[in-house]
Amino acid sequence: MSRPPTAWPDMLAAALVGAARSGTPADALLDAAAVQALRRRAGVALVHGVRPPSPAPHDDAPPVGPAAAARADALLALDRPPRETTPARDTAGRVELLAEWLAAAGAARRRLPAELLPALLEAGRRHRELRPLVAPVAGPLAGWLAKQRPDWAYASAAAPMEADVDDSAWELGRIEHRVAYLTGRRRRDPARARELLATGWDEESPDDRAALLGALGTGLSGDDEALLERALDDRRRQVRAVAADLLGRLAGGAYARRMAERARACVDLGDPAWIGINPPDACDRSMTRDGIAPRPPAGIGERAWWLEEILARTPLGHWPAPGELLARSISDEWRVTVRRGLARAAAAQRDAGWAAALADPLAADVARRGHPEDRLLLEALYDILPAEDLAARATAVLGRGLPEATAVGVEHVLALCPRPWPPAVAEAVFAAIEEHLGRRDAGWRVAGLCELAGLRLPAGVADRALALLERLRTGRPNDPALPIGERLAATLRFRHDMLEELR
Amino acid sequence: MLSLAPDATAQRAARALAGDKAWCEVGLSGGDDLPPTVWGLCQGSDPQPYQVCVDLTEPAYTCSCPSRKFPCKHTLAILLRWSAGGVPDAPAPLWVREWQASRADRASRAADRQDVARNGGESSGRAASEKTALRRAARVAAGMAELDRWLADQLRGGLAGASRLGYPHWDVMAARLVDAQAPGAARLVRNLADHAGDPERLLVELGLLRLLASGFCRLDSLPPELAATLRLRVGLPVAAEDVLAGPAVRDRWQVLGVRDEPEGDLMVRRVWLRGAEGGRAALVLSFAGPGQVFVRDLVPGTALDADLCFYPDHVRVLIARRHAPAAALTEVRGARPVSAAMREYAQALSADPWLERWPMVLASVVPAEAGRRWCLAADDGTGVPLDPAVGTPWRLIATAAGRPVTVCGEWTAAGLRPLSAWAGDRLVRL
Repeated sequence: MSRPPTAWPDMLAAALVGAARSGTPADALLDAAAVQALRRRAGVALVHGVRPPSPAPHDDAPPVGPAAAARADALLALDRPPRETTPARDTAGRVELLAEWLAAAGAARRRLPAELLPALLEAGRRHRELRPLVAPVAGPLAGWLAKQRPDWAYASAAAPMEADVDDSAWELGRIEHRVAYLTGRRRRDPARARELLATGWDEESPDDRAALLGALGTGLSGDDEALLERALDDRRRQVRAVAADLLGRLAGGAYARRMAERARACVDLGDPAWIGINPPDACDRSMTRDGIAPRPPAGIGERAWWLEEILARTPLGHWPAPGELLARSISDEWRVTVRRGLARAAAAQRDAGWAAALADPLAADVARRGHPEDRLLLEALYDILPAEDLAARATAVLGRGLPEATAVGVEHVLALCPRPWPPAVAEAVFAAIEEHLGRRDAGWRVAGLCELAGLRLPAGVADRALALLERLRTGRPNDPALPIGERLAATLRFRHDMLEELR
Repeated sequence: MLSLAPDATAQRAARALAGDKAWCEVGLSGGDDLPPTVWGLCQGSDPQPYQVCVDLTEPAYTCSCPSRKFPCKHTLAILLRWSAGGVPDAPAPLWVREWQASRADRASRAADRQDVARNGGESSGRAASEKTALRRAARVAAGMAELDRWLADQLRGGLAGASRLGYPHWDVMAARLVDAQAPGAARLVRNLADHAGDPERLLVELGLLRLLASGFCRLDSLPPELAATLRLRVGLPVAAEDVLAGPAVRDRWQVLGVRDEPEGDLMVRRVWLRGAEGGRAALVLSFAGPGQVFVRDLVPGTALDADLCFYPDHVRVLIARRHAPAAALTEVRGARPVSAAMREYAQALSADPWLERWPMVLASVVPAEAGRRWCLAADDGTGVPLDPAVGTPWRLIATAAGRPVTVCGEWTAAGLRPLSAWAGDRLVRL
């Protein structure tokens, strides 16, 4: 038996093969290792020649107070919500609360404490709607951090939005990355992007063709017509549908002229007070090629359906001004079809003027018949109306009572209203809640409304909500609607406290 | 104040109660014969108002309400009022004085008991406990001797195959040490499994275990300080009253970091303190079983004027006496340059070779990446490596913003784990 090694590497080698084979007594090896172990642990291996990063630019803006900072910390935990501290039930609600915090702090020109910035940048990476709110509360530190993590590049002013998708994505990436890449190229150089798509067009799989063609919606112009017309003859129906939709948005193109020609044949505007209707007798090949579905959905006649399809794809510029056209009389048989066709056109072409003119009559239809298709169409019209217009509509429809208001999708209108709600909307909503909360027949209607109201009512009404809750509590302590009211009051109280902290 | 609350429900309830409505009478009393005490009468669901009383030095509290939560919402509410300046000075009513008197009485009786324990106490009880202690010592000694043989066996066979052994290999020895009533040594053996894939680290750990086992066999020949540390590491129990009987160190103890870690079924909370004047490091250890919550009374960013009694390892402490309520920190004192901090660690290690964590307060360091590893760099380019398990320390990076800051952390064999940083005027938890 030899003496145990004294140098650490020899010792380690002996230990690895085993004391028996290395010819060292195990006890002696252990003792030697013990001494070395202590020495190694005490002599910490420091790293040398570390070059610290250049410091972030100085920022003199004052940070928010400790209470506001603690609340932001809780709100930033979007995925693992501290349930006791944040009232919102789902991620969307929490994102909304965070957005309100950020907007209020930004308006007060206060900064988020630096240690919370990484969490905020991460939240902004995953929730695009937060991104515009990041810069005012983050200050120059955001850009400095973003330089160290490409994921956060959106926060540095210089970085283009598409920086995260590089050229290899087009050749090798998954389809969603390729679409993102193409969309980015379209934004900067539509012609080059179109050429890129056209070059490989025939080699793409049908599914990919449909997905990629949609990217032409960005920066769409008359120059794209040739490629889109080619796509109209595609084997795959989805590709044809995308092409037809995009062509419908090109007001001056051949497609638009063809549709206008069909519309002129069906709709007679000769009499200034009358709309004469002569729907198509058949759906010919050229109509099918232009995206008109030959088979109507259940409950609609063939000719009415073809008429609706033509109207839905005709450029709205073809018609007289909305007020003038809708003021004309029309036979009862065709009124609903024409209205639907025009509404679909308004939604597809994102024409706010037509949408405003059509929303009220369509809402009346929906309230009377309650057809789900019509309700979706109505919501599509609301989507393109300006927020102030929507606020007025919401107030008006709530004035007619909650049942009718929910029937025409008032929640959708309210969700699109400016936040927090303007006083008139807030009053109308509060009145509706006050009237219906606790009424057995209105349970689900009020629940949805309260959920939204908690996030959108001005936080100043927190005390009124509390008073309402108290009345309900004393009047009917076992009412099943009580938790709904409690949540409403709690959410408003939370937002009220939150905004107070940021004053 | 609200960090004292056992849960968020109590926090919310306390906020709601802190207004004027519920309180019939509140006051702040204190003087020569009475520590500073906040008290109040709170109208709850009982016809009789609840009597709430908080001794601000501890804090210790009582409330006549039936709540099982501790502290209850009334206690928290009155503390909130007090911190908002909503409690006027007033003479203490009789029930407040009675409570404080009963507490003082209990404290003195506990002190008496300690004296009794220290001075020998009744002979019969002592003889019995001595017998138990002897039996236990024999079992531990046998266990440690077995550990020593086992360690030699590991080296005899070689460490090359260790990574393929799996948990049972280590757990068997650990279980035998638990049976031998040496839980500290058992834990060290169980932890070997984590290093099975890293022969270098494994050899270091085996060497340290060898120090423990062979040291225990000649305990009587060791210096008493080292012997006491060794007994503690092996896992021989140290009674709280023995610790409290030792000399107390008074200082303004800065609370610089908290870290919770699971250990078996328990959660272990480590609160790291540093004396503002003496610069000594201290560790307050607490445990919570499943479903239990920690009492949060040591909040990072505060300092506590208190007497601490040290365990034999010179790090773990018990709080013997609080002289004043915790106050917010206005600066961190006792921060050291990297080299001095490392020297201090080496010293601590020589007193306790089995030291697994050591609190460091590093002055003027910048988080920086060197190679693929993050470290805290001093201005001369030397860097203290961070524990890779920490990942990229984004919160610290953002807090420092590329400028030197004071960082408090836990030093382990894997590197530093940052726990807090001093940013201008406040302590940021990381």
